[in-house]
Amino acid sequence: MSLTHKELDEMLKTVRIPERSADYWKHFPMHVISQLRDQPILRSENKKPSVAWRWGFGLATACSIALLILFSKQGRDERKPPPDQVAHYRKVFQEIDLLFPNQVESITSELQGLKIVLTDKPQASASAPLLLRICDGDHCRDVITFSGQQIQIGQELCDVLVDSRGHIIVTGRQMIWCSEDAMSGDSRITGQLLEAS
Amino acid sequence: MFGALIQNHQQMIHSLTYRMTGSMADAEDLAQETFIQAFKRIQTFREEARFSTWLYRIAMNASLDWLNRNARREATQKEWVYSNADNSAGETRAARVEGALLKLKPKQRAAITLTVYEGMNHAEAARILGCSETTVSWRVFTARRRLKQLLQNDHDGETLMEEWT
Repeated sequence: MSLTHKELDEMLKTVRIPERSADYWKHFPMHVISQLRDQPILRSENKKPSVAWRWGFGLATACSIALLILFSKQGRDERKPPPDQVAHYRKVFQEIDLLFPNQVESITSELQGLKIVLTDKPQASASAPLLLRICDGDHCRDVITFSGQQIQIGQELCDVLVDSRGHIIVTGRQMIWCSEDAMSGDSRITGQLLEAS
Repeated sequence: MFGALIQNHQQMIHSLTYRMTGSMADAEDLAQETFIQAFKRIQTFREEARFSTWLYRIAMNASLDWLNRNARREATQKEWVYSNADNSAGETRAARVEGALLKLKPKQRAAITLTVYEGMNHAEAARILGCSETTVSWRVFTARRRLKQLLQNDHDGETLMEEWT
């Protein structure tokens, strides 16, 4: 009697994948990363705070105080920032970037105010800025940042990446989110490129 | 920076590369190659509906290249047959099934891996393999026909045993 479709499937399913140790899974990412370290695209910058950085941060903070009032009045209930708020963020970024060209690492707007993080010196290749809204319950914060930077979401330090079509990927140890299809189903995040009108 | 991405997808990619090669060592090499390529090409991530689909495609291409370019495929086949020769009946059967899978053409094996083991429908498999759904269906059909030929004797033997007991 010839094999039926179901019988064949059952036979195929008898092939199991040999298990690897927990130690293997723990070390595999580090092993890959160690191979990548020689790649020129993996940039490692020393970001020790300097006098110039502190001075710059002070100026930026002063600048942000005025803007804080503006942002604090914006509604925070909606998941996605409305166009006028995005326009405001674009303006904020432009003003701060004008003061500190290619030094803005992130600008975070939350209830406590604006938090601006600058790099020690201008970065060689500045990519397009992007805007992320991260919500935890009713509380939301908006982050202007770039591909390649890291942001804190809950207990996780997450990487922010942007592909060539402008899709934003946010990935941590326990989650991954993509602006194209929100693959993780993580409803805490919305995002868009800041340059897009 | 890339560690979290690897952590999230490493088991999925290892599973795929193992199904394609039948070798733990080669599966590991290909999984590494997959993540290194993904890192280098992260700027080209586009069109795919899911990030995992994009990774699957990289892993599948790396596996197909591996299968196509070297004679290790045959060596792996032998390794499988011999390493499982003294195992229990169930394990020996699994080894024979694995041996039969390794006798498939690489693209047939890819179609079976994605549809049977990864549980994808033909449309999803087509996106990863970069071909039409019809092509996937044909490859699955021909792969199943070949597998049935290769495994028929095993099946007949088992049926006979069941009738006797």
